[in-house]
Amino acid sequence: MALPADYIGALGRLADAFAAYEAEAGSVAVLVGGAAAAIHTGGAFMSADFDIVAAGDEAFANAMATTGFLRDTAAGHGLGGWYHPDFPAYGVEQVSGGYFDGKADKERCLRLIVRDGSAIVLPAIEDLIADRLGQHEVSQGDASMLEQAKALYTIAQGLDLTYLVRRIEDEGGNPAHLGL
Amino acid sequence: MQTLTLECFLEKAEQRKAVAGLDESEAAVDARRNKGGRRTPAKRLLLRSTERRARAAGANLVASYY
Repeated sequence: MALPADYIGALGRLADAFAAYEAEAGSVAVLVGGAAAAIHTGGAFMSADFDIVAAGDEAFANAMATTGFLRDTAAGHGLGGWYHPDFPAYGVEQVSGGYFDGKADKERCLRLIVRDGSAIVLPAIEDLIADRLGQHEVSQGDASMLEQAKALYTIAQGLDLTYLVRRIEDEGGNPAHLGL
Repeated sequence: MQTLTLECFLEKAEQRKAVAGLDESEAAVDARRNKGGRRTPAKRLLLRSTERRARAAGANLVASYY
């Protein structure tokens, strides 16, 4: 199963926004959550939302607006939701808090060029596995986070297992779910 | 930070999935979808709004639980 064309198209617009954000803020925005897991697994599942960690609220809002995204006024207040009118099936949310609360090594992130030098930034697969396992521990019976972690782990190559185990423990997860 | 193209990254992901034999049946894909029980109110609103917008535009819907 591959990611559909409109999903890739939406990522292109998001990459433009990431570039605009980095130019203004001097730091990178990072795509996290289910969308990051979906991309890492090449579409082994998908989500309709893109969660983004960006430290500068004003710079992020400016970047989104200048690259054609619109505020989703139906999505309430707070940091808020956005969408691009060319890709109505997807919503964007700037999530609060720092990048994995400062516990992850941001230099391990991946910069994926989507078009014309614009790129999205994803967490390292180790950080994403750890995040999913941490969320599984508080999931109240929903096994989806564990299933995402297993899919990521199954297809991963060249994992830094020492870093992975430390990060799983940072996130309150259980490495034994992966046989570690 | 490692840099590569999205196209190359996705090609490699497809290869790794094939080698690992990752289950991509409808049931397995659905098992990986967030069932929505712990979503924030803001995320529920965003997903509801996104679904309405996609339906109005006649776009392909992405299955979401919220």
